[in-house]
Amino acid sequence: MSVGFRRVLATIVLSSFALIGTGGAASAAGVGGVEVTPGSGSSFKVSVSSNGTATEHFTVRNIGSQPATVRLYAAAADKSDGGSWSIGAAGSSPWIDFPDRQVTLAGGESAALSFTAVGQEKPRDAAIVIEQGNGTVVQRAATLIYVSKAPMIPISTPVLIAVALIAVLGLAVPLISRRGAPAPPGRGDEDDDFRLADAEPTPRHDQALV
Amino acid sequence: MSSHRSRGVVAALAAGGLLAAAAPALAEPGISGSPSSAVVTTSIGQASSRQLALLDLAGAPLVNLALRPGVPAPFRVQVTDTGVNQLTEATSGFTVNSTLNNLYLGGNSSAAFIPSGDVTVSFPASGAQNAVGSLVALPRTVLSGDLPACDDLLSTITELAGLSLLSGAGLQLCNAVGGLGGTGLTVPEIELLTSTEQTLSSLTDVPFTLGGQESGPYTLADYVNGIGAQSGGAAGTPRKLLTGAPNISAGLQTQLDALATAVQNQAAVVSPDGSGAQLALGDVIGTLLTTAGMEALGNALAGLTPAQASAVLNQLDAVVEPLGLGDITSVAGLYNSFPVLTANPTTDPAQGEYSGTLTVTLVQP
Repeated sequence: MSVGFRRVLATIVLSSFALIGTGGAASAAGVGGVEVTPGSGSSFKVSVSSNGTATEHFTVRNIGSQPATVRLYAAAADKSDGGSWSIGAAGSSPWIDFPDRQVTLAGGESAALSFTAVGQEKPRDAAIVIEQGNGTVVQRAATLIYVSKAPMIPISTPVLIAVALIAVLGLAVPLISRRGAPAPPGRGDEDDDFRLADAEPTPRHDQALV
Repeated sequence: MSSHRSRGVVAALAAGGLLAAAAPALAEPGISGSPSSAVVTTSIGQASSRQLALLDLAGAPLVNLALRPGVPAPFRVQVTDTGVNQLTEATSGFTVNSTLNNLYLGGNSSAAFIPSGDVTVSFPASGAQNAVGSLVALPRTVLSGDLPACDDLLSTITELAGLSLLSGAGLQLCNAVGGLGGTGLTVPEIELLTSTEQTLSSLTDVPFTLGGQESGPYTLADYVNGIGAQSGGAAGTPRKLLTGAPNISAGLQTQLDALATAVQNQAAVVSPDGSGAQLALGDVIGTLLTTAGMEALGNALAGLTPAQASAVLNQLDAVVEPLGLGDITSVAGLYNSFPVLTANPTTDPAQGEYSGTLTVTLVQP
């Protein structure tokens, strides 16, 4: 595969990811004056292949004028038949790599954070949760993470055969070139270095090697 | 133009119009000088914000809710919106739901408890919710009409006096409307954003339908959060406390219609300095330059003075479209729900104080 072709393929792949990432204006949800703002839209939309990972960046900001401390974690999000969302507890979404943490922000301060979605055979939704507990009352704001399975690039049999042939040729051509080239003057000693110790006859240079 | 208008695109087109206005002058023979430049700007609004707060009836943060058997204990669920937009998206709505632990003696989850099912949530028959808010809207208008034939145009519009039919800007305008002896030019309906955002305060109704108050017992205890949390515990019965779905009520539509009428009643379609006009001159010229069949008119107008171009465009009609959810660019709102918790123990619990955690979650879809 030529360098030029690789560059073209990389461009196509990166362009696809860029298209997936396109979204509207960002919208934040929070409690206690602290909120989570996705890169765009009001939720996260992550597409990840079953054996891959995908990282999403977001901002946590304190929109108040006083310091605020909140708990931040990822949790499972399940939608009932009636359309209600049930948000789990911290640690209920192992497919979202985002350690449970306390975040303290000064008034007006923002922090850039990220989480990584780990691919699953059956994708499950989740949420980034901001929690602030007061006594026996806990208030939370959950920003949903919609997880979908990234399609695998289909590779047809003819393409597989073509790729295999290219790989074989890629290995064989340098070998043929090297064996076929006449030995330059004064290089006989170097050739002798590659002879077997039992002095087996060396191949004639006019014999093709396959 | 789609409801998800990009003011960035409009700003770029407006700048294109201004730059195009400069270009013909520079192209005139005999004019020289250093290249001019224009600053193209577009502004991206701050991210919208939605905050959940649990308050007591005095408005202070809710810390504990003391339940005495049979005695209703009200509190307030408040959602505050700032700069919320894109109301045509279903995801601009919200849901607030709640779950409850069993109420454990002394707050000890290993101790005796009052089942969460003995606690019900209800809402007042009247006054279950209220809301106040304001909004900003950017109306759309449709520009269309007929421009008279060349000689009529130049002879009836006083601002065009002095232009020649045979050369320069006058000839360019003449050709754009069909040339000498032509029948004029019909401008097809072109939708544009009006030039000034309109603010509507003291809304009759906010652009959300509030509801979702779900009365009933917390049948299944929550073992996911709070005092009663257990590893691998199941979530409790959710009870919705408030929902908001984007919608324009009849009362709000009346207010929006009045706003559209006020914009419609502005004196002019365009004006040289933008005052008292529905549309910005640069926006109109920029749009004409990129509308099939209207490019020549756009070019011709760009070669006139602002007063001349405005006088020509004011021959056309501009009709403000009825305002809808897609025209609302920002909402500030305060939405309140007033749940009431009542505990009626069905067992005969021992004397003491029982505690459980009420978890209230705002879900932003």
